[in-house]
Amino acid sequence: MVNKILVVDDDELVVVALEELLAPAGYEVTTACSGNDALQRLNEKRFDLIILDIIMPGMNGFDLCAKIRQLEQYRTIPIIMLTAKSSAEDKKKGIDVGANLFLPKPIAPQRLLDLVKSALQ
Amino acid sequence: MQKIFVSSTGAGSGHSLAVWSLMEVFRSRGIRTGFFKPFVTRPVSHGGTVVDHDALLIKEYYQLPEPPEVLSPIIPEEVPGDEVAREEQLEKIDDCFQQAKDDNEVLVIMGSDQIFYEADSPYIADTSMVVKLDASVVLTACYQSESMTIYSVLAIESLLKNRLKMIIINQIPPEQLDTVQRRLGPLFSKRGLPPVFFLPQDRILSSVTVRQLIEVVGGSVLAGEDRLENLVETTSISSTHLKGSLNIFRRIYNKIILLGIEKEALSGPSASPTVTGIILTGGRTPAPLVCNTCEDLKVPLILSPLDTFITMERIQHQKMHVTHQDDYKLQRFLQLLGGEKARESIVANFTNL
Repeated sequence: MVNKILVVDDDELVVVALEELLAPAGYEVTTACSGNDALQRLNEKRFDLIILDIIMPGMNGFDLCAKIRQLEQYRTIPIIMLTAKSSAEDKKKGIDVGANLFLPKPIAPQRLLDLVKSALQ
Repeated sequence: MQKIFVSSTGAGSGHSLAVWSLMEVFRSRGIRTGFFKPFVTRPVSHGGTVVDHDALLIKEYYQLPEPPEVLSPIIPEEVPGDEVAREEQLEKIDDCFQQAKDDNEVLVIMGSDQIFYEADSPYIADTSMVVKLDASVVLTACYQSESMTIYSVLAIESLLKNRLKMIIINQIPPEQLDTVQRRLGPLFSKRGLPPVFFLPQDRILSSVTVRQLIEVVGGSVLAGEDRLENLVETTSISSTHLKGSLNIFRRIYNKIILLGIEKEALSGPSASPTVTGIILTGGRTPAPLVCNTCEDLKVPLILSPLDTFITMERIQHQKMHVTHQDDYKLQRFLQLLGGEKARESIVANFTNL
């Protein structure tokens, strides 16, 4: 079965970068450019992993993550925060709102693939 | 003054050669160009002190007045990773940076081993240094696959935004070069990325000299002293490549045949690898006839004190970095970038900023 990943980032370059990396590795990738867009996608189908940015217009990544964790079907699926905000305070906040992994940008492609694989296991 | 920060996505990207090439392009046009590398990433001993290999290379090749400790001031291992130490590092970097940029029109700044985030890295991230030094960026990437290369370039562009001014994608398998160029070129261009130089894997860039292998195995020269700059691409313990008078070596078992390109053939058309040297292992000096044969054939003959297995292992695991003696690699890298046209484009790209 193909694992489904939702990528949430308002930066088109990041979205394309992640899509180009993850799709050839065998994942089905869906993208969203905002928190609201992401919540809509989450209602449309079931995802196995979510990668999200923190700094986004409107709903930021922390708020989005907290909202996702309130959804019954997404209480336990892995959420990876991939962000340029990398202070210890941000990391703590990310983990507090329910992220499983907090990764500073830019992260090496092979490392990201390994972490995604490991999170899905 | 233009500050050009050269970053790398990791090993094999041609980081050092890209830095050297930029220095060469600007300096050959009479543009005063300096070098700076905040962190020592390849420590070597020089005159009793630890300095950076690349800083030493550039200093020696261009006879720069600044000592290597100024060109690359911070040895991360010496400093614990606390906030106070980090502040001291930044002060020292700033002080040496001012000295390195003094009187120059262009300053080429070399980043650490890779631009990607590493949890335990002792270096201040390249992405932070670029902002601190207010520099434009050249990104060098070792081609791994289309997907990884696209991801790497776009992920970095998304962070650096319009600071990224040039991209070099290196080590593309020659049979994939056209396909990669056709797919990645338009994809990057459509998204407003800067010029991309696509470089194939190259036998000259990936080779080492016989002289360098002598250092690696701790060997001594028995014949062909004037041919030690011959290039070595591969090694073999079989006698298949021994032709003519070299047949004498078929009866010698403790040998390693070095195959590559003779120094004189570098500028000529690409030819099959030839015997560019022979290593005798086990430390036993051969009969004079063997040495004389090599001398007559102008094939370097090296004596390794180690046995064949260990000698081979050392050769296979050697990690030679370019030195100031490897200017043939510099010329080759510039040629692969696109020769004179590329030089003009680089100068125009950075002097018009």
